[in-house]
Amino acid sequence: MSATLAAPPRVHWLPLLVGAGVLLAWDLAVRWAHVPQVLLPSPGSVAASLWHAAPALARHALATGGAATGAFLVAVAAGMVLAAVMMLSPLLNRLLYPNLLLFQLLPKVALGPLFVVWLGIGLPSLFAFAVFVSVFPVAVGTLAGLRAADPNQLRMCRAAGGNDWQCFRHVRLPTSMPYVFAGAKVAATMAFTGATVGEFISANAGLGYMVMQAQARSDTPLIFAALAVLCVLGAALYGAVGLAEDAARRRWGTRR
Amino acid sequence: MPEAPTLIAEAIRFDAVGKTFPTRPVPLRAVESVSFAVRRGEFLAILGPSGCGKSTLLMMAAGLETPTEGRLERGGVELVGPHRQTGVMFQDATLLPWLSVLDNVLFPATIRRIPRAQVLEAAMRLIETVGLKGFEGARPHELSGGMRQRAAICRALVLDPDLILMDEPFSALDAITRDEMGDVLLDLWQHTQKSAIFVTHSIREAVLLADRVLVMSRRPATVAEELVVPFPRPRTPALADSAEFAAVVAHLRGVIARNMA
Ligand SMILES: Nc1ncnc2c1ncn2[C@@H]1O[C@H](COP(=O)(O)OP(=O)(O)OP(=O)(O)O)[C@@H](O)[C@H]1O
Ligand SMILES: [Mg+2]
Repeated sequence: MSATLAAPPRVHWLPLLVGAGVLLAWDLAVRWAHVPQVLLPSPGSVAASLWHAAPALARHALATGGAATGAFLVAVAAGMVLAAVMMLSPLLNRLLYPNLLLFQLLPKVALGPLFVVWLGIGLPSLFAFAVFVSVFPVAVGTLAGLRAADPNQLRMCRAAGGNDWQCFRHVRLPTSMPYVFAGAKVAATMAFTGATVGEFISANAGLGYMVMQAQARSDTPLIFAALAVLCVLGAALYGAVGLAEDAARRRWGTRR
Repeated sequence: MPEAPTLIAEAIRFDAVGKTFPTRPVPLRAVESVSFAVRRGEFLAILGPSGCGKSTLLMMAAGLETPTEGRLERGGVELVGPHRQTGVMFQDATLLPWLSVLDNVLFPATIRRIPRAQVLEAAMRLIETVGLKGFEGARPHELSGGMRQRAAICRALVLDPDLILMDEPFSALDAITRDEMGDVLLDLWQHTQKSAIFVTHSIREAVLLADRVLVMSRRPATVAEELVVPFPRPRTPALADSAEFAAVVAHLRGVIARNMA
């Protein structure tokens, strides 16, 4: 029904071509300039490392992917609840919002070691840290969306007899959907950042941990392999959020 | 909510109603001691200068604003908030863009927790009456402005209210669509026993649709003049082309001009 306004067809092969070009240039540069493997492994050796370490990579990817996805889901839920609470209670809004903005500005990743102090080495501190770094964009985004509701629509809802909760549920919440997804997309990348950094400092599993191990053994191809897997995982979560957004847009498309 | 006693002959009564907004630095007096009543089945139009307080009056009737003085009665009972038997139409259609036309029309039922099945038939009948049949599943952005206001009419009427409040519902439309919507409303009206308050800037709309017209003063709004429209019902849109109609319109225009001076 809105297909007539579709964007021009996307060309998938152009960016792929650029990617392939970069890989080729990288490979040639490494060969001709005789760059040591420890500094910059060739794409071929990274691929070989991917192949040989596949079982370990898969195991650690599962740990990181699970932690990041879990943290992302908790952050989205917690961020939305936080925003809803601040929307419905002016008092809590006044108490919480300035602090939330302040935290948004902090380099939150720097607080990682604190989580280790509080929760020890392992999954709990890592998970809490990943939630911590990814909850803010969702909360701030959702709150902006809830506030963006059309005053006329809210008045219409109240005229129909809607109470605060109903007008929240039927007008504010659908209005906020695009904002929620914008926040969730940032949160998806933040959750992986949080999980990986958490693994750097506080884990005995996961791709971040694997990178640290490989670094200790100067196994640079394995570092690259782990990073490649991390990129794929991050892109997958981001893509899943995008798909969910498309579905939500079909349901709550906000065009007038 | 208490059910209106059927013996009460008035759908709504304003009793020395005043409204002052607590604006700064000086409070704003929007409505000054307004008293009038709308009988059951009566169609009342309100004309008045821009900014005089007509919308404020209507928002109080809708239970969305509380009077600062006086009292409002709805079917003999003091009005304290939005009333289940009141339908409201605003200047913009204010349809929810993420709902289909049908779901928008059913929105008051959703809010009042009335089972869909119970009002679906009434909704479909209204949609057909206003000429939106076939567009039940469309989203608001796929409709023209006139079609959106048609959907808004259906939404205001879907719970079969006995009073409907309309605040310049057609003023966002072009002149031709606007006359057309007036005709739709007239047609819809003849078959019901509903009361209405209709705020408009169009004298033609007021005379064509209303049994009685109130002309408000400049702010703060008071009732400056009252005119009973001398045309019997049922009326047809053709009435608007008659000489008698033109005479009443001219008379009202004079009243308004005198009022503004
Ligand atoms: N919520 C509010 N707070 C403060 N002032 C208000 C509020 N609502 C309306 N007013 C003021 O009250 C006065 C009357 O406004 P109102 O909207 O009732 O006028 P109106 O007769 O409907 O005008 P128009 O014909 O242009 O729609 C205006 O001066 C307006 O600024
Ligand atoms: Mg107005």
